[in-house]
Amino acid sequence: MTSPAGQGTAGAEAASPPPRPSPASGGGRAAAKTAAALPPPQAGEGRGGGNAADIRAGDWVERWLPRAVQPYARLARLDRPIGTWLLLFPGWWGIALAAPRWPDLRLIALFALGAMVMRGAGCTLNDIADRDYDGRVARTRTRPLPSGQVSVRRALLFLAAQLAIGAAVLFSLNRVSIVLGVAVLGLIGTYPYMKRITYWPQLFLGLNFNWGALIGWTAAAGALTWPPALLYAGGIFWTLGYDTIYAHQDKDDDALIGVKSSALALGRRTRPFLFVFYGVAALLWAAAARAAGLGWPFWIGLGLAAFHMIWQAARVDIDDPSDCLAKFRSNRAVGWLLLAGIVAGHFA
Amino acid sequence: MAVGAAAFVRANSVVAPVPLVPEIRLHLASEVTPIWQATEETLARNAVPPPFWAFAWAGGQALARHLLDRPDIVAGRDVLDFGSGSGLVAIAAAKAGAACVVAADIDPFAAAAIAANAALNRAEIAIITADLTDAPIKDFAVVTAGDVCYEQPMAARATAWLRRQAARGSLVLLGDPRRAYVPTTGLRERARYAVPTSRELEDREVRETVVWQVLSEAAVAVGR
Repeated sequence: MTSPAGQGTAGAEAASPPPRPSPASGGGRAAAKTAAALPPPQAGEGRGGGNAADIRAGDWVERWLPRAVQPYARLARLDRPIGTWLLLFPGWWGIALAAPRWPDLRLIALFALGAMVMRGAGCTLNDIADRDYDGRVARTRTRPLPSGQVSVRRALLFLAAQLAIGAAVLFSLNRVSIVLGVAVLGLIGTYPYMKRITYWPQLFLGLNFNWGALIGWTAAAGALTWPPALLYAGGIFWTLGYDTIYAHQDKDDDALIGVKSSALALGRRTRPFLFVFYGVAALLWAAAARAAGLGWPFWIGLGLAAFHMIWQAARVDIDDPSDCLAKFRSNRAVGWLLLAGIVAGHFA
Repeated sequence: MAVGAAAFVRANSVVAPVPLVPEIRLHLASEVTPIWQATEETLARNAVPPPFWAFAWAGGQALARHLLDRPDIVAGRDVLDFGSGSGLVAIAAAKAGAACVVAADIDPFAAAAIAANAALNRAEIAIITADLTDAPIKDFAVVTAGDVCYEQPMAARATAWLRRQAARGSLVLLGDPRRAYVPTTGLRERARYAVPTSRELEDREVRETVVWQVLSEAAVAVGR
């Protein structure tokens, strides 16, 4: 779900990019279909002319994976992992926060697997739903389904396999975590419709994407208390920030087809609001750490993460899609810094 | 918009108020002839389209004036400006209190000009370079088009598209100084302005310009 244009180079992603896939599904939003049906942009500078396909030739999937496996890796968007990272970090934070000292590596591995297959399942489902449509758009024509590398039947089987792995991961956790994992399904179901009815689908994405903070904690500690709730709340504001930046890539197309986003709601006021979102996120994470009794090394990690978020808010050019994408992706660093802070905070 | 186009717009224009709409300032060509020749002759090789964005055409001026004088037409509503050029009409709609303004022009240089002009006038405008005549879009309460009937194929296509928007329930407004290919039926006059223009651009100093409401095919058929 990273690069809409997929070339992964700043220049090629500049100017009016095709509609972004949603971080949740990693694939096109229902409404993005209409926008992508618009004719390709006029030839001109920075419009990424030549190779419009959103699959990069010669990337690691092509170089390292067996040919038979490649289409499945593309369906699961293994070539664009930022969505998995952003889904995974809240879970890792929860695990680390609940740990006595070092986080439980078994849980760390299970959550990584779970985030990968569930995000992959969302992308696969999206590609199945959009297969006819994707074949008519230059950017998506080379995807595994429209290009005929994978049959619908096989894609469905692959989807089922990923969901089965996701379910197996969930059911290997303790009972509270299983209940939480099942409960979030209802929340996930509402997300695709939110961009039709509210200017704040980013809030609902945040509610979904940070749920792992709760499950991570309960998987490690057994019962919900204040620290994971505060961690979760902070994550929601973090998502509000980074996904507002992400939504600025497509604000013009969204306005035309009637899709709502926080980028449209905030417009020129985006920058001050980014400071607010990220500031509140940092405060809630600080409160979570206080409640969990983390020691002084945590504050170094949080400080660096906060510094990174301030840098994003201060420097992002909301009218430059490639810069929005770069700043959005850079949030992986926030994830690592906070994780490092939480782990280190146990060793004071 | 690409940096190159934005730089081109800035390098080939000066900021000046619009004669009939002095509350709006735009990046306009200081003199008509040099930029037109520059693009037509020198830049033809690089596929730079004629700089329609560098002029405040009479139809757009009248339409912008009308929206600013009658803000109730667009206040709180979604507005789509078709063939936006400099973005003049879109900016007027934003200043008149429109909820959401989308400016569409297939010329990427126009997109750069609209972005620059929107920033200059502190207007929030979404900019689209896709050809809307065969794109699915949401319902806009108001659709505006300034001066789009100056050449035949474009006028026919634009008029058909505007009538379809009217059929969908949009209020469709066309500003036109009696261009050659403006339709002769299915229009209802809403306002009339004497628009100051230049002899270099038009063949006279002042062009009488009408703001028309474009009616749907169905409305035309029943003779309304």
